[in-house]
Amino acid sequence: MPLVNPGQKLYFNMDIENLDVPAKKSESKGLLAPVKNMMKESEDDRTKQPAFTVGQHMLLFRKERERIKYV
Amino acid sequence: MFDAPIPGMSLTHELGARPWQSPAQYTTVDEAVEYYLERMSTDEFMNQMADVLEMNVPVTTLANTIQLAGVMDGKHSVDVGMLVMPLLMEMIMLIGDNAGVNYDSGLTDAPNNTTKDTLIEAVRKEMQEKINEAEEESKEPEQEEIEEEPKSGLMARR
Repeated sequence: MPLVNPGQKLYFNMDIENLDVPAKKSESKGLLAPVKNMMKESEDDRTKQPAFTVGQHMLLFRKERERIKYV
Repeated sequence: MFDAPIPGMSLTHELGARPWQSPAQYTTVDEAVEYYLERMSTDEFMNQMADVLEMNVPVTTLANTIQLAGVMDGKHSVDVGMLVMPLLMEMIMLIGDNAGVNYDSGLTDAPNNTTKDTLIEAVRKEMQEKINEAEEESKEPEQEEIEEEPKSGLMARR
């Protein structure tokens, strides 16, 4: 059986172009602003996935590559 | 084909004798990413990688080899290696771009009909060696003739 390199599939499966990193909510400093974060942490489990971390790193490298290309 | 391991060959060692049979050193993707980034950001590694990319070795092959070596060294498991692989590819491509190398990403399915420079160079070397050998062989008999000592025996013809 020939050895198959999964690199190509894995790379395209990452789809980092559509990786929308959730923006941090602006911390209001008002007197009535909630001190605790009332949002459930489980709401965005996607960000806890290891592939998401990898995607974020890849995005940084991709941006750096594009910067090098267009310099 | 006949170099392949025979069935049961992997069971000829005690369980746990191989690095990949014991628990991995880095169990999470974050740890594995940190390990690879640290290794790949050294000047020595980057220079070597640029040389390899110059030889037209596909990035996918390099990334697969690197992560496979990590698995075999017991650094991380196969699944962590699979998750880390796209990042390795991106990092390798960054190194290539940084060094200004026109590398083969290995991401295109289209058959590459161009002849690789490295292949031409290998053939040229092989041919050169054959020519050198043939030249040496043709020279050898002449030298022997020159080096022939004059016969000085009692019965030698004069």
